[in-house]
Amino acid sequence: MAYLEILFISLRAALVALAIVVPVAAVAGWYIARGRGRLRHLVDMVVMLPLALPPVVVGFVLLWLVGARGPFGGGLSGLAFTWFMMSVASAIVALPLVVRSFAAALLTVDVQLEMTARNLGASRLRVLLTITLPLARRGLAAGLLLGFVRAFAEFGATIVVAGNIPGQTQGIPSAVWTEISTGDYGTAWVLSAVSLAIGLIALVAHNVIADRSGATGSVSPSEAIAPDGPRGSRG
Amino acid sequence: MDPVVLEAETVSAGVEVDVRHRLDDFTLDVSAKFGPGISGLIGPSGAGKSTLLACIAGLTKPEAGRVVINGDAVFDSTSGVHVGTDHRNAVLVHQHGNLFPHMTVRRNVEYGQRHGEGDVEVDEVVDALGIARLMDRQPYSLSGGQRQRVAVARAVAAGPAVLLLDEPVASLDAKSRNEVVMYLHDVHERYSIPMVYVSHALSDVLALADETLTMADGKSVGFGDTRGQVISAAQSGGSDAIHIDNVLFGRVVSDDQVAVGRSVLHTPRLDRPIGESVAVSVRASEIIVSVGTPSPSSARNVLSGRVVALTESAGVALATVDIGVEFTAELTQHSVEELCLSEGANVHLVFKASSVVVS
Repeated sequence: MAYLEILFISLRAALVALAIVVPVAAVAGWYIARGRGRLRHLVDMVVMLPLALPPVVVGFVLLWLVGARGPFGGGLSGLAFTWFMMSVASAIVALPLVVRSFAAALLTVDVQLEMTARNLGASRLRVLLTITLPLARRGLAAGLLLGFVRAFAEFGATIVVAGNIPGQTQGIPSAVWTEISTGDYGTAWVLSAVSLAIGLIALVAHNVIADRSGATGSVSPSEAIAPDGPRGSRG
Repeated sequence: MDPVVLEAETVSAGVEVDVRHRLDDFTLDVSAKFGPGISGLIGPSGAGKSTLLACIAGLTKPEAGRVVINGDAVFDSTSGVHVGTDHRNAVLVHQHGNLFPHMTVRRNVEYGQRHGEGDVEVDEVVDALGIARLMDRQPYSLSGGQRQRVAVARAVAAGPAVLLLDEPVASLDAKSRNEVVMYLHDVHERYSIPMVYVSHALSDVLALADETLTMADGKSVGFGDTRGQVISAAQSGGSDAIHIDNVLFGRVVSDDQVAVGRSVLHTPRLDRPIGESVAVSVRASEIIVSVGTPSPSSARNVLSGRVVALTESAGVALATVDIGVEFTAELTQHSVEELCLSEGANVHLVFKASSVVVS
C-alpha cells in the first residue's frame, strides 16, 4: 500500500479544491455579507445547496455535466475520472462552509472603518488591502481551514465523478473504503488514523483562529443576510 | 482692480452647501455657507447634522443640490459633478474616532498622511495634538480623549481642505472634552483649516465656533453669531437643556491662576507648568451676577464687565457679560427683575475658584 501516494492524492485534491473555491467564495461571501437586493437570498441558497444534498448526488450531477448526455455534449468527457474532477467535486462540497465563513468574517469588519479610510483618501483597492482583509484575516483563515477539512474528507461526490483509481484518484477516503471492502482492516485503520490526525490538526487550528477573530465560521442566515447592513445615524 | 486679485478674492475658503436628500421618512433640505474659521452646527438629535456632514464629506450622495469646498464644486446635481469621498479632501472625524484597530497610533496617523492630498508633516501634527508619547500604542489601549486626539491628528495629516467634526467629544468626560476642544482650537490656529463642528454640548460650540448653524427636522432654523444661536438653542430646548459651560482658552500664570484674555482666573491648585496652554470652563449656573460692588466673600473670582446680551425664557435668563472675553451667566428671571438688569448694565461676575475646571 503506497500510503504516501494516497496521502499526496488527498492533499492535492483538497488544496486544488481550495484554489477553486476561494475566488468563488470570496465573491459570493462578499455579496452575501455586503450586497443589497433580493438576489442575495438566491445566491445564498445556491451556494448552500451542496450542504443540503447527499454528496453522491453532487457527484452524480457533475458526472452528468461532463458526460456525453450533458449540456456540453461530451466536450468535457475527458475530465471524468481525473484527479482534477476529484478537486472540483471536493470544491463544490466545501463551498457552503467557505462562503459562510467568509461572509461571517466580512461581517465582523466595521464598514465605518472602511468609509473612514475612503474618506481619508484611500482607493477602494487600498481599503480592501489595508483595512478589510487585515481585519477579516482570522475569519478568512478559519474559513480556509474549514474548507480544507471538508475537501480533504470528501468521499461521496468524488468517488462518483472521479472514481477510485489507485495512483490517480484514490485518496484516503476511497482507499479506506477499498480496504474495508477487501477486509484489510489494518490498512483501513492506519489510513483512518492519518485522516483523523490531519483533520484534528486543521480543526484545532481553525478553532484557535476563529476564537481570536470572534468569527466562529458558522453564521446563521439571518446574521449573514442583514436587512440593510450597518447604517450611520443621521443625528 | 487687478483681475488676478479679483479672482483671488472671489475664491472663498470654506464650504457652501445647498442640498436636498431623502432618507426613509426624513428629508434634509439645507442651504448654508460655512466660512474659513470654525463653524458650529447644532440642533437636536435627528436634525440631520450628521447627514449634512456626510453630504459634504462625500459619504452620502444627496439627491439634488450643490456642495462647494474652497471654491471647487465637488457635487452639483445639475451638471452631474460628484467627486468621490477619496478625492474630496473633506475629512470627517467621528464621535468614536474610528481608529484602525490593527494599526498603531503611528500607522493610523501615517495612513492619513499617505492617502491624503496635503503635504503635512506627521511630526508636526503629532506635536500639535500632543500625542508623541502615544505613537507606539494600539488604539484599544488609549483613553477616549487620546483616541479623539489621534483621530484629529490622522485627519489633519491628510491635509484636508475642510475638517468635519461629528460630535468628536460627545462620549468623553468633561475634562477630556475640554482638552480635545483646546487641541482643536490650537489646530485651527496652526493650520487655518476651515472646520465644521457638530456638537450636542453647546459649550464646546461656544468655545470654538465663530458662527453657528442651527438645524431642526432636516432644515436650517438659524444661522449667525455662535453665542446668539447657542443661547436660543439652550432656551428653546427647555430648562433641562441649559447647561452652558463657558469654555475659554488661556495660559497658566501661577500654581492657581490662569490668564484668559485680559483677566486672570483663580483656579483650584494646578500642577501645570507656567505658560502652558489650557482650556478652562465655568458652568453658567455657577456664576453669580452682582450689581454694584459685591460684598466680600470666599469666592476668589470677581470680574467686572458690561452686559452685552440678556435673553429670558421659561423663567430662566442668560446674561452675556463682556469682561474682555464673553461670559454667560445663568440666573432666574426673578433676579433679573430684582437687580433691574438690562443690556449695557455694569455688573460683577462672582464665582469660586473651585467652579473653574482646568483641562
